[in-house]
Amino acid sequence: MPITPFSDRLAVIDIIAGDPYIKSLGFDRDKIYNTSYTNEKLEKDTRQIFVYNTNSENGDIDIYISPVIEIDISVPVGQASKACLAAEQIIALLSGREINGHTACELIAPSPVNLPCQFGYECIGLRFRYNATIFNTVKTV
Amino acid sequence: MSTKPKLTFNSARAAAGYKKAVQNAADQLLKDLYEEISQRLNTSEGKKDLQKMTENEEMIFRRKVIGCADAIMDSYGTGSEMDKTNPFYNAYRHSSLWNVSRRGTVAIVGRHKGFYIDIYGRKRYSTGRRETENIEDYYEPISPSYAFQRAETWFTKGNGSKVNEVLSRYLAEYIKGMHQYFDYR
Repeated sequence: MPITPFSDRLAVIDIIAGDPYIKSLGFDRDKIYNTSYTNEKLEKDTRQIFVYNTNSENGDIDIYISPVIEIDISVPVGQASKACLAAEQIIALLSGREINGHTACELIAPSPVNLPCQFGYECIGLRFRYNATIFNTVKTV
Repeated sequence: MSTKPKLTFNSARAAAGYKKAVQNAADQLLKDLYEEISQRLNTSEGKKDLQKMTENEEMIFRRKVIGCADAIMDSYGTGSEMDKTNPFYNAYRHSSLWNVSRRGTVAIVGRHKGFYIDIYGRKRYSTGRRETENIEDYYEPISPSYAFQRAETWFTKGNGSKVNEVLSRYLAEYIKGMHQYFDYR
């Protein structure tokens, strides 16, 4: 399947937001963003997840490129265990899962990793890669 | 009378090939790190302020991504939003660049009267009219993007870091091509 970053992120958000365990940890759908982490979005005492693309990698063969999706889980530092549990569940949900007809998602090391963030918060980063074919077609209106 | 052919290993060429592989890996890491930081910076000024530096010695290949003032302010924030875990925060506070009128605060405040050198190294003049007064309404503080800090995490943490991954890839290619360093004649 060709490169479809926007719908891939939406598919990832659907999987995460639709999971009952993730919901039980207090991550509501309206706090799962299709954008990168910024401090301005950190809300006091709120658990948030940011889903966005980072730099792609070369694909396994020439016809592929490997888009990389990063998922940052941010929680107030007193609830750090919630971020760890969410990270564990997201790894289980996405590893080996095919999204939008691409090859299966693969967790990239050193995920899960603690990321530097604002004082008073805990942030865990995960990265997944998959292969997409480089032959996108021209769309018409 | 014919002599039997011999298999020999050309260690000089193999060592040169090894150095080339490490050098190529270092170049790739520099490119990747630069892109990673650049992508994470929030401001266009910060992105423009990033530079790559390459230094090759006989046995040492140095690669650096250098962030000048705008890139550093983007990554670590400014004023009341500043990330005080910056490892150079103390050095900054005790440098001549620090505004001494910031008393017990990191918020952006007016300077005392006189000439001073700003963060870009330019000579400036303050009338001192708003000394110690919070002026963040005029000079909005910047939230940290953590571009450098996070890129460093992805590149250096753990065995599966980007540095290990890229080095392993280039060295595996080198080992795959080892046959070229053997001569049979």
